[in-house]
Amino acid sequence: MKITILDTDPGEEEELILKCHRIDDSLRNLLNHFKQGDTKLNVYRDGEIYRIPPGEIYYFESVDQKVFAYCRTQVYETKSKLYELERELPQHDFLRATKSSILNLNKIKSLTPAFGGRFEAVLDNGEKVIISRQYVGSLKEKLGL
Amino acid sequence: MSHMIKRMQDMLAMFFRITTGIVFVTAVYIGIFWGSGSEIGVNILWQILMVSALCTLGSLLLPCGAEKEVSKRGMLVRMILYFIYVNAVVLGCGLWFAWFSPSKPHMLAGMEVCIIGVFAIVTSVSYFSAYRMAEQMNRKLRERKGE
Repeated sequence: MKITILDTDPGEEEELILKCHRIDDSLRNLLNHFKQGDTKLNVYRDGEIYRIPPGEIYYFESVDQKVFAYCRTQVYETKSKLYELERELPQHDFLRATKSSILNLNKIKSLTPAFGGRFEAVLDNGEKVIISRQYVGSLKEKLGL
Repeated sequence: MSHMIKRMQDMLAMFFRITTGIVFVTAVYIGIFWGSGSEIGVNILWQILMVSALCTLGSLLLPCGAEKEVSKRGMLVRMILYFIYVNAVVLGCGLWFAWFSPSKPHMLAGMEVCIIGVFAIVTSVSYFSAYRMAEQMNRKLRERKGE
């Protein structure tokens, strides 16, 4: 891929122009990265604030009006609501899995059918998360099926 | 609208699965209880289609697509209700169409075995369809991770 960097005039807004035949997954990831910048999420544990990249989070779950971010081994609390996270997180990587959870697609190891049209996602850390029937269509769409 | 279309597609798929299952168990049932040399009228084809359509109608009890989420227990209750509905439809229609004689318990037991057989076939086909979908999604996930 050819990369051209042009100088901007003083006061001119910086702009990224992408010329391509089609946007594939790798380009979409790259675009998401530029759109998100180096966004990190503020999360809390034992009274301390941590800043972690969304990509490290396996899933978010809302329990008793609180939202928790589950990483490989650690669990943090986040002050954002699920619907806010849904808007802020990279659309390509995160999926609403149930009414009370958002799942990182990149952390799914495998999927198996579960009772009642649901699917069970086994994550890279061995945890199992249910994907509701309502959101299976959205999952298929995100996977390009 | 898309929700209605999804429901119609699901019901149509269910209708074909049930019809296939009924045709299969009917062939076995007739062979056992009426003799392999017995002759059947054209009417039985319409009767099978009617029973399939009525059984398919009962699948409205089961949630589909983006419809409101049902708990595991709720789903189990709906499945049991659907099974009872299918029993009522098949035994009621069977009696009406004289597929069996209520005074012969072995024929009634045969009908029940057929109902359970078709129910098991249709449920298994639905599971394997979901399993195939899971396999396709797993393939896409592997591609996504570059494996």
